[in-house]
Amino acid sequence: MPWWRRARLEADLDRELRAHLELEAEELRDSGVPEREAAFAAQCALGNTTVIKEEVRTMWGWTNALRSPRYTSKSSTTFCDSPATGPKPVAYSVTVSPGDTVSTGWEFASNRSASPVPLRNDEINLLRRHRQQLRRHPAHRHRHSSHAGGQRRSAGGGGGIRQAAAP
Amino acid sequence: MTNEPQDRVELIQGTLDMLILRTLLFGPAHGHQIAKHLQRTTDNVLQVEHGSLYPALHRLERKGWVVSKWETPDKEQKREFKYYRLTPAGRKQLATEESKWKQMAAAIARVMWPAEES
Repeated sequence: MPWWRRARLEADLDRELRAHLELEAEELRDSGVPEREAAFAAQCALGNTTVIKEEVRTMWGWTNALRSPRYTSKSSTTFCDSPATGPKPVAYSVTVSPGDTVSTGWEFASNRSASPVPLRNDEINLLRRHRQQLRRHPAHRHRHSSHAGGQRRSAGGGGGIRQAAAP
Repeated sequence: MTNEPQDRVELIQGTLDMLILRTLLFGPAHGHQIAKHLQRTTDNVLQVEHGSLYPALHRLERKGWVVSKWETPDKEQKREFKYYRLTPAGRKQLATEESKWKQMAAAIARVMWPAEES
């Protein structure tokens, strides 16, 4: 699918979800809920928009191992159930082998849903291929030689998914 | 009267598509309207997270059972919503799903209340 068609579909989905949130918040405000609470409640009723978008993208056949909802928080129901503790931003990164990590992005997740997820073999292979391609890239070689590899090396052992608290 | 959250039940997998198709039988509707309709008609018993509707709607569209178009609800409103409409193929699918659902419900009923059935 051409990039412009993808961009249009993405924008369309974004607009659709925004319209839903606005209408829900508007209805709540009309029923007497204060502005800020209405927006929060509307978001809770809809759920985690990142997860919804990922699910729709999966439907379009655009998903890949790193964008899989397995690596994002389950839903904002958890997030909305415990407003006192609040959601914690969690960075997900995958350790392919000692020394190489690939960030898979940021996601708000509760403590309960932010448990490490084991990787499947095909996902590990995909990440290995990605790492090999990166290593062949001249910019990557230059960066590694200038840093002498010291700072980028992780203390962890073998492959697996790693979760780090937000700064 | 609406049900308390603990009385709510999770939607059986696969039934959401059928419920959406049935809702669209009344006419075109956007996601929010469908969510509200399901909530109202089931008296809040079925726990349908609004967000789960969108992947389902896009799936139905991909299968050709619904079509969508951005429209304004009326002339007074400027805001547009994405309205979903049932296609002839969607109507056919709804009839199939309905028939399957009736068969399944009858089978479960025969197990649950054998005396009453006989």
